[in-house]
Amino acid sequence: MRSQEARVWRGPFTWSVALHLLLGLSLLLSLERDQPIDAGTEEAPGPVIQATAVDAREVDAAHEALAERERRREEAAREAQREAERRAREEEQARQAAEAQREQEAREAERQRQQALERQRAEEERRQQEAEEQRRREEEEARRRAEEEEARRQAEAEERRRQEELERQRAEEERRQREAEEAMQQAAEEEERQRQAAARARQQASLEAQYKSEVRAHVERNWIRPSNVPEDLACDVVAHVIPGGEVVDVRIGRCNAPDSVARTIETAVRRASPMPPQPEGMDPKREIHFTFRGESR
Amino acid sequence: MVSLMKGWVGGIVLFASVLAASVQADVLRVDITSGVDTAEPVAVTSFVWRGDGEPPEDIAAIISANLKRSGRYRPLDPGDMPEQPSMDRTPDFSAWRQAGADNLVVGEVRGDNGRYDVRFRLFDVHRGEQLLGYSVPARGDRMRRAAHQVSDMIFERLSGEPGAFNTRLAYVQAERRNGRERFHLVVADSDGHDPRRIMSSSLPIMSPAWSPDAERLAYVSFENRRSEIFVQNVRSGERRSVSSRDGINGAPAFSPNGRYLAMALTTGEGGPDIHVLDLERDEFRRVTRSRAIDTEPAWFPDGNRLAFTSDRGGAPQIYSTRLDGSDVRRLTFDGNYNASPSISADGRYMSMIHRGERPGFRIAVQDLERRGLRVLGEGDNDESPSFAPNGTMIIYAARKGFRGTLAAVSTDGRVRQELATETDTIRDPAWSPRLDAVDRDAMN
Repeated sequence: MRSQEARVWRGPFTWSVALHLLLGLSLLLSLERDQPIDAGTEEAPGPVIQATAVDAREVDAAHEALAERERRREEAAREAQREAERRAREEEQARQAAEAQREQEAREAERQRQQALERQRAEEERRQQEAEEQRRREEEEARRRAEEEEARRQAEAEERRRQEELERQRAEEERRQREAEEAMQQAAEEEERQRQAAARARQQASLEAQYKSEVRAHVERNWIRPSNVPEDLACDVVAHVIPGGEVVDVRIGRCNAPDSVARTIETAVRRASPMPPQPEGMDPKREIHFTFRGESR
Repeated sequence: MVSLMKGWVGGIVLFASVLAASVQADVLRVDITSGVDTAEPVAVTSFVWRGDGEPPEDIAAIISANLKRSGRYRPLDPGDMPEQPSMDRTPDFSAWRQAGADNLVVGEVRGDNGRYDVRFRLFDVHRGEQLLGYSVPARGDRMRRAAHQVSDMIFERLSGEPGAFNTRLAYVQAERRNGRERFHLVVADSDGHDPRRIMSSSLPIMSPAWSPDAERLAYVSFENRRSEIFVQNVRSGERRSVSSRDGINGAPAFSPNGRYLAMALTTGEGGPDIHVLDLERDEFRRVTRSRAIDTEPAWFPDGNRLAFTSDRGGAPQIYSTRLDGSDVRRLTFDGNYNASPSISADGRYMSMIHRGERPGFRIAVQDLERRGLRVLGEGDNDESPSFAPNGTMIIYAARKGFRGTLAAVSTDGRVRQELATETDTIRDPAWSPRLDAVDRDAMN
């Protein structure tokens, strides 16, 4: 139902539109001529409308009527135009100057900004470089220190080995020397020992003889000799003596005496405790073997 | 047998140790050939009395005196004894060694209704061991005899020789009373105690001699105004005359087996000769034939020989002969007077009266094996030596002026002691053989 109504009203409406358009177009055309669009600017003021030719014949009449007026108006317009253009040019020049000025300032700001950025960037880069440098230096330092430490350790170990080797050589040298000295000393000592052994044996024999005679006299003083001792008496007695001369054990061994005589013999040895002190320097005697004999009376 | 084995094994062990020790440096070898000639110290502690009233005898004192008289032992002074040990406790041997004792006797006497029990132990102080332990029962009137028996046991254990304490002595006691002499034949204990007269006479009694069983005594009596030999039973007093010849009937001596009696008899050919009477057959046999005085016969232990005194060489010396009169040998060569022989029971020693370079007659002992003579007496008029049955002591009469005392000397001469100190004169002592021992019980 809506489309039907549209068709009814399409004709007059079209006309009206066309007319208006035409008017508008003419206006525009005049404006166009007076105000060339500076294509060189990037920011053109206002929109640019492209008129479309409609019906030439309808236009001719209007056009003629109008032409005269147009011409005048054109003249005025041109004059105005020139004035405007002049002013525009001045304005434009001022504007362009301002624009140039602005651009110049903007460029300058941009340049400064860029410079600041560049500086910042350079600064950043510098810092990074410095940090990197610092890190690198530190790493280098650590590595250097580690290397130094390693080197020191190796040096020390080397020194130690060297010292040990020196010590070993010294010890070896000492040992050889000592062995040589010892061999010599041993030979000397052996000789001395033999000499001393001989002297000692003589001394021992002398001390023993002295002790023996003391022991003999001491035991004989303690033997109450019975009258019935057999003439061929031979009675062995072993006495154990401890330091200090005390007799700790007495045993009768082979003995041809009657029991009562053997008992006096054992008693004599026991009664002789303590035995005389052993001479200083004599090898200590722990056993004394007595043989009681009946030969002398 | 076991102990023999033990000794044998011990001997081997000791021998082995001696062998092993012979190469050791810490062994000293010493020969001992001489000792001291002294008495062995022994401690006889007081015998503890366990009964009512007073103890009948001092047993320890009797034992000590016996041991001392033997010359072999020297009893400790009671003041030097460190303790009074009891029979039930081990003595402190170390203390006794310190006190100087070699041996120790500990004992007690138990008494009940006149019956007694002498108990004792003998210890070797140095070895710390008991050598003896016995209980000897005795009646109250025989306590001394028990003490002598204990002394014998101790002596035997220590010396290895029989004791002679449980023995008797016979001797003649001459008593002068109211101007008249009286003679007694006396029998006493070996220590002179408990003398008993078994015969008395107003005329001299001489030369008592014991029979080997100690039951009889032969002696010379002048009771019938001449010499006459009697044999008398000591216990019963019963006696008989065995020889009463004209002249001399003297110096009787029983043979070791008791069957024969040797004596000196006058034969009419000068001085008396030695004869032997067979007491069973009542037969005499003449032994010596000489014009000299042969007297004082003494038997050798084998009963085959006699020693006697004879002046056939000029001065009295001692000779020996076989019983048939052959093989007469002179035994004494030292001194100018040797008489009154007495032979020890082992036949080794002969005691006599000896006069040498020094004036006076003294007891001497000759070693018949070695021929050495040793003068023991110190008096100047000793008479009638008689060996104790074990040969360790000699009893004799020691005259001092016209008195004579009973004296004993140890055969080694170490100890001399007067046994009786009576005012009367004592002569002709004779030592009896050993008496029978009474029963005894070993104690551990």
